[in-house]
Amino acid sequence: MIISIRSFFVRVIILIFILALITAILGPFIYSLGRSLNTPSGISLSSYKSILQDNIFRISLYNSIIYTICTVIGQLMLGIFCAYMIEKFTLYKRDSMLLLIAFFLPYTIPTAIIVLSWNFLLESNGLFAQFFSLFGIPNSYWKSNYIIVSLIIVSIWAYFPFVFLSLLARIKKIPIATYNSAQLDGANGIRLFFKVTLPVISHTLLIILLLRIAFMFTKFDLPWYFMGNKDFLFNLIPTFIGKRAIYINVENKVIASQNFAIAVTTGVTLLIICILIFIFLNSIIFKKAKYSSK
Amino acid sequence: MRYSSLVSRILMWGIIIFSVFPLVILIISTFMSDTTVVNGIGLKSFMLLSTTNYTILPKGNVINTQFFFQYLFNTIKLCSLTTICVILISTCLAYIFSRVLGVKFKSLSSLLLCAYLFPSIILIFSYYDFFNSMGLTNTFSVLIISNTIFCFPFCTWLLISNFDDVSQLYDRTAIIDGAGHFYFFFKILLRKSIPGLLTIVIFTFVLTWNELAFAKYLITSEKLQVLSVGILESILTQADSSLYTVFATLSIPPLIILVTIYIYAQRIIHQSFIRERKTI
Repeated sequence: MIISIRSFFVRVIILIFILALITAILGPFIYSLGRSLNTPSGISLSSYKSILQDNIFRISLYNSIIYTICTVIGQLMLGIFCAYMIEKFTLYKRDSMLLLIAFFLPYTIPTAIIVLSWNFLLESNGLFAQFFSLFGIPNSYWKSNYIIVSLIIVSIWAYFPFVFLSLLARIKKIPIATYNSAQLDGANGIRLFFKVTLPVISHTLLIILLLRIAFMFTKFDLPWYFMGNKDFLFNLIPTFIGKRAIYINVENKVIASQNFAIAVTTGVTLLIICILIFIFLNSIIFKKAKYSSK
Repeated sequence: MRYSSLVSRILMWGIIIFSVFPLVILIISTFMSDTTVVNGIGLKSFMLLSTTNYTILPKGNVINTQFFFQYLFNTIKLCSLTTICVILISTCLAYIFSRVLGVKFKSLSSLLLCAYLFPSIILIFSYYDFFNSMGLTNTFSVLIISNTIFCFPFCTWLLISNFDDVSQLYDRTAIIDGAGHFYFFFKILLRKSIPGLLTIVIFTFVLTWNELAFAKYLITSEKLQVLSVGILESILTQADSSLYTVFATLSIPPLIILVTIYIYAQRIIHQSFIRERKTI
């Protein structure tokens, strides 16, 4: 190590870190925990009991799990395929630059524009809706009965570039000699991917999986503005929280509603679920790192 | 290597169309008449391609839109200042984790990712109460601080792995040659980690640019609003939906700016990767 921990500079930086960590991570959690336990009858777990007995909460949780699993799988598959294609199969530098731009574009779009452009495609008279009506799917389904499916497609489109960029950086670091040796030994394209590329990127892939599950499970803005005021059957947990947390008063100011306690309770419950998933996946990552270091 | 099979080529083109098509529709809608946009941009509009469906020039009143340039300036200012703050915090913290704290503290870096396990809507109200008590609500600083807090954990985590990739031999060589802490950090470590720094610049800029919830609920003043909220508010509050084309046009210049920044940054990253591989 180059720097001793006794250095004044290092102590100041560590202090900044502790303050930043407390503010960013623990502050909102402590605040929300306090609000969720503070009921009209004093400090109690009654908010948590009412949440767990609420049917709408269970429906929202189920929808959120389906949404998270489908979007994460879609983003990972698309991201891996695109990163692999760019690195392995483009001959000219210009080709790969154009592909990079094409694949990165969805990530640069603001949420409002994503909602607007996909509404053009999925509304009753939209291009996609009319195209799929030729296969028997009614036009109106995409923004009504199949809205969760529409949201999954839009979320995969919007966020796969994150996976693609993260994996591209990792795939670029694999030496070409590894692939050449495997090809000399008779490996074809599919074997090269599963036996050479995938084991090397597996650690990064697990970390990206962790991040994507966390991001998609707690995603608020895209579902909120895409689905609008849809029936409770199509709620996700973040939109369930939003509907109970936000109230716009007569002065057009956004303030906490009377159901805010339910909203923060749901938020804390969601956090506990995410932490459990996080611990589980982190233990797999830790075991893998320990195994590979041997 | 060339495209190895027809299937790969078809899949590749399919994904390119999937990525780009919604944006192409958005740009084309700019040149369509209001009635076409209101009635829906369907197959008929494209199949017929009749001139009555298209207007040659985009809507003239876009340039006169009062708040567009104010929003754009605010957004660029916010993204730049947030990126600078995130770089300052992330580089210092990543250096501490990578070079100061030992291997047994490495698992602490995973705590950084816990910041993203909390729903953003609850974060907003926590930040609102906190900043309100400090008298910072409805100021530009609150946006910078909240976006920095949101972005720095991921960027720090990303930089830690970049700094770990720089061999410790450089540290020992630098000590032997008499280099101090600051010299090593600025002249050696940061230079070796330029691809990682560029990546966090891009991620922070894009995340802050697209960030909607903090700006919408922490700022109420028109003068301080950012582009994403401005466009959303315009869409939501317009009773006349024929103005969709105007807002589609509003969205194009920022897109061009972002993609231009990305292209130049990506070239530098790509060249540094090639140089790095040649030295292996």
